[in-house]
Amino acid sequence: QVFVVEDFRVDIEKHVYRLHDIVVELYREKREPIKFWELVFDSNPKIVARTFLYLLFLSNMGKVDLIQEEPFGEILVVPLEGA
Amino acid sequence: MPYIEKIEMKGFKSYGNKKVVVPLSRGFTAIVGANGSGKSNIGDALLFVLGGLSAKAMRATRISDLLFAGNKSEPPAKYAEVAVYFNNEDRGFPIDEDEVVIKRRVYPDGRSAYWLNGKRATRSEILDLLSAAMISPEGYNLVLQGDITKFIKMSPLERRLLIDEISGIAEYDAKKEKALEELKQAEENLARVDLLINEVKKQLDKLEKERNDALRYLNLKEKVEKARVALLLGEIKRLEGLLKEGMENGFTLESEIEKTEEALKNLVGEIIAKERELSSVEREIEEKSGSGILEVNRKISEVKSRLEVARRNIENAQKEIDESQRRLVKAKEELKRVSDEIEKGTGAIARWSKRREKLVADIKEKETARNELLVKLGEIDRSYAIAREEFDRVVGELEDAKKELYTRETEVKKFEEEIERARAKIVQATVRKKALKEAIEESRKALEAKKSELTEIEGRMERAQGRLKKAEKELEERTNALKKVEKELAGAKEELIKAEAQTEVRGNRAVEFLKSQQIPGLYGTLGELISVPDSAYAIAVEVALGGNYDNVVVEDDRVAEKAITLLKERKLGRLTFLPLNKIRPRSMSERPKLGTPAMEVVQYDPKFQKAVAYALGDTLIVGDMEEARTVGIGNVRMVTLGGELLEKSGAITGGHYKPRGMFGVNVDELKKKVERLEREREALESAINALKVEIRSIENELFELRMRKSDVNKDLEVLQRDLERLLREDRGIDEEVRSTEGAIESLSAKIEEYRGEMAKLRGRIERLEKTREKLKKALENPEARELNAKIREVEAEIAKLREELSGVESRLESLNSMINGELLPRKADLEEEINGLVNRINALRANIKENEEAVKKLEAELEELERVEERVKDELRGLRERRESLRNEIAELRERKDELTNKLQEMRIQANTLKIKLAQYEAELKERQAELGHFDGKLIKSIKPEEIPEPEKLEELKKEIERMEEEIRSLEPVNMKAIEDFEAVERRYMELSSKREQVLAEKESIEEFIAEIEGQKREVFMKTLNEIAKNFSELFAKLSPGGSARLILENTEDPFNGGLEIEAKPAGKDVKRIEAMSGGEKALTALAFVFAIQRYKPAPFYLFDEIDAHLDDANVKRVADLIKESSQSSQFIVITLRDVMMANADKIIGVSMRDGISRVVSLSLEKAMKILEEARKKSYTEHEEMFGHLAG
Repeated sequence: QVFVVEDFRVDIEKHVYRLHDIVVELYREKREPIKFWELVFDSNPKIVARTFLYLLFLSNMGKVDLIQEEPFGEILVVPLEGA
Repeated sequence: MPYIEKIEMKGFKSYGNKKVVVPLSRGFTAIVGANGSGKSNIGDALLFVLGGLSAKAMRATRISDLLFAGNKSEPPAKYAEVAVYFNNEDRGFPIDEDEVVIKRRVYPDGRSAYWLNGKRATRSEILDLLSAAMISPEGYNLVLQGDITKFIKMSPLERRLLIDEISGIAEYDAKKEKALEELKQAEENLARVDLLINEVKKQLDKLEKERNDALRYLNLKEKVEKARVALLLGEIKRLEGLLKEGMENGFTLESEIEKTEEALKNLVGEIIAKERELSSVEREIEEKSGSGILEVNRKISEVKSRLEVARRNIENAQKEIDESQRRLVKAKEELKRVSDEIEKGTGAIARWSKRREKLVADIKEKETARNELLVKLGEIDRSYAIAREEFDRVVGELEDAKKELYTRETEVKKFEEEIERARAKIVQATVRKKALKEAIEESRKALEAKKSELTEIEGRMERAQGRLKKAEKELEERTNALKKVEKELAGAKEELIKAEAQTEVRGNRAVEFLKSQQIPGLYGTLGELISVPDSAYAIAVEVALGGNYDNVVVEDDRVAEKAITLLKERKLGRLTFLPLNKIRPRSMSERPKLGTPAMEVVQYDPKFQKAVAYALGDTLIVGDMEEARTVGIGNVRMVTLGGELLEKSGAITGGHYKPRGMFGVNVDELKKKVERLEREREALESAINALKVEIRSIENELFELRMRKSDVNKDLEVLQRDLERLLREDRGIDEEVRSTEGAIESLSAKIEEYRGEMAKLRGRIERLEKTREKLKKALENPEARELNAKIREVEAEIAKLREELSGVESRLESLNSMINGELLPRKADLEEEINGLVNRINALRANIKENEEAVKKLEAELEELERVEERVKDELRGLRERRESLRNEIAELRERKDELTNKLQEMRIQANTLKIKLAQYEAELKERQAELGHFDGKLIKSIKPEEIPEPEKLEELKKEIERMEEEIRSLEPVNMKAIEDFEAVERRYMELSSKREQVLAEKESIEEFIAEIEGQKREVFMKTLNEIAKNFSELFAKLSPGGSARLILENTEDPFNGGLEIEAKPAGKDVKRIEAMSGGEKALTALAFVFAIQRYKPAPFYLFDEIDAHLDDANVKRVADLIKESSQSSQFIVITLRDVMMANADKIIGVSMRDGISRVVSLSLEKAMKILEEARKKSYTEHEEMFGHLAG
């Protein structure tokens, strides 16, 4: 477990890009905004938190758009064109 | 406890102009997002609303920096606004609303506004409200980024103050404050009372003294009165006593006087009797002492003197007899001696006469014999005598010749030696001469060398002098040049100063400013650009220029515009510009016959021609008004040389004109000139300095050369002298040799001569020896020789005899004269003397006898007379004694009489005095009695008889009265009222004293109360501290398993007089000084501290910004667990990047930034977990169904 954490820390960028790839892939398949939940592959809170954080990174990088209608409501992810 | 429901931001920092809502809830909320996306700005927003004043705390340099700065698509915010919604369902805020909304807005100018539930409020109202809910912008519940260690870094004292605050002892402090206030009041009261007491005491003391004085005064008054009466009574008593005594004395005195008078009478009788007796005794004495005793005395002295004479005669005679006898004896002795001598002398004469006779006979005999012999000899040889003579002569000659020969031989030998010496000398001289020759040669060479050196030095000196002269000449030239330059420079400087001054006086700051701006194409004022070579025209041109003098010439209108803009900006006034591209020159239609056009007398750069022509082109310079008139006033613009201006319009301007100064004076040029001259001067100065140095060095060289020259000269002189000396020596040697040779020659000649002489002498000696031999033989005759000898013998005998004879004769003669001339007369004299002496002795003896008889007679007579004298003296003595005693008796009686008379007199006076005194006493007594009548009868009676003073005590009493009166006077004026006043004031004093007691008691009770409060405060503090310390130790152990930490008071005795130390010992390590701990350890320690407080007294919410930065995952997990646990009682908002932390949160707020604007998405982890669970179940079911279906 500890090892994995370290691994995560070091390769945070790798993980962020992989998440981006997934988002882009999913979006190409579905052609509609992706729900946050669709991106969480494990119900472990840590995984949820991490996924959320990576999405924030991607948003910060201008690669995705995060849409939330109301506080604590559904979070929709849309990859940005040209990114 | 209230908690934050949401934060709304608008225009705040990175959150853009649209309203952004951050939803928050009870429990644990994590705020996450990439670095720089605006996470911490949420925390800042919260601080902002809580009334944070310090921009720094909100990570901004100014409060206005909190405003959204804008981006490509959005403008900057007009204001920043944040609203925080607190849930107030449990009424943690003292407001009866379920929700409390605090809003703060800040404007770009830094102004802030607050709203409370939609109503405007002041900051302090907001702060009061927040503090009521235990929230403050500086609270320990807010841990900003990198600030977690503040609890570690803070000083122990600050830490203790934090505990103070938490324990709420401020309440006690307030009570204490109030009590202190009361204490101060009490102290003031006390001071006031003390002041009053002091005042009253002073008054009281003064009054007490006055009262005492008054009492003493009264007492004294009374005493004096009584003493006065006593004194009077005492005096009356004394006077009465005196009167009585005086009367008694009077009687006694009278009887005494009578007695004394009787005694006096008796005494007088006695005196008279005594005096009579005295006079009779005196008469008798006179008689006795007159004739009687005097006669006797005279006789006695006469007899005595005669007796004396006789005795002295006897004595003298006796003395004379003695003397005569002594002389007689002596004379007799001498006589005897003389007689003896005469006898002896006579004998001797007889003996010597005999001897003489014999001698005469002998002589005669001998002479006869000799004569016989002589006759005989003469007969023998007459020629012998001649031979004898010859022989003697020859012998003498021979001896002379021999002596001479010897002399010559010696001399010759001497000469030969001399010659030998001279030869040796010559040899020596030759050797010496050779040496000298060498020395001379050497000396000559040295001399030559020195001479050539001298020549060289002289040459060098000449060259140096030449150089010196040249340098000096150059120096002079340069100095002159320098003088010239300096003069020029001074002139130029003066000119420059003048020019500058003028420029300044002209005061065209605008022009100066423009020039200083170095605008390209700006040339300067017209006045500067023009010069008037002929000064006669200067004034005329100046006047002609008029206002155009200060016009600024510029390249074109753009330059002018630029300059004008600058002037406007600087508010430096206005100027006229002459743009060369636009300005139109003026001109005269035709040249008048008289006068000179102004254009012709000025000089200028041709490129300014247009500008100059614009100002002067139409102006004519004329000599004077007369000339102007000739030209025609109004035909053309004219200026006279004196400065009158005649406009074309016909207007004439004139009067005294003060010239403005020189044209074409360019300050810059002057400055350049000054600089150039200064440079020139510097160059000259340095050249002069160099020349001076050169001259000095040449002079030094010359000096050295001169020194050397003089040295060489000296050497030369020495050498020359040496050489001369050597030459002289050489010459001397030559001379010597020559003279020595001469001497040798002459010596040799002499030797030769002497040798010849010597040969002659030898021949003569031979001849003489032969003659001598011959003569010798001739003299050898024996008979003659014998005779001769005999004759000589006899003659000797005769001589001897004659001598003896003459001795005898002289002896005889002396004897005769002695006897006849001396001894015989002496004898006769002596005999005569002896006779005389004998006669004299006899006569003297008879005289003595006579005198002795007379003495006997006189002695008897004297005895008789002395007896008579004795008798008379006895009688007189008796009488005198009687007289003396009588006199004494009379004197004594008289004395007694005087005494009695005096006594009587005295007694009479006394009696009179007594009478007067008695009268006085009586008068005084009456007076005193009258005086006594003035006093109070009661007072008089009150004095008991034993209190009346005795007379001897009166004086004392008087003094006592005086003393008392003195005291009374000293007490005056007396304040009689003081007696009553004193009592009143004393009562007041007592009252005040008791009041003081009261106030003091009050003060003491307050002090006690304060001590009690302090005790309570301490108790509360200690309780709080102990709890927190316990929590701290527990929490630290939890956060750092195996580790331990403690809070320690610096001053356990008095906690408030010292800080609070943290002692932490992380697992497996020794107790560490906090400063030495790692960042993670510090963070853990600090968190333990924060949670220790939270556990004791939770704050409504906690904001932690990246407290987990330095922690490893295990520690983050522990902290996250703790937060989770603590979030039961307080709201936690944790800004973090750590997934472990996030995973523990209830809610996650995600922040991301797009185009410079932060955006927020929120995620409820609980809800997400639920949904995920459901989804998983659903998909499982679906899968089941599907597979089940498929299977089924």
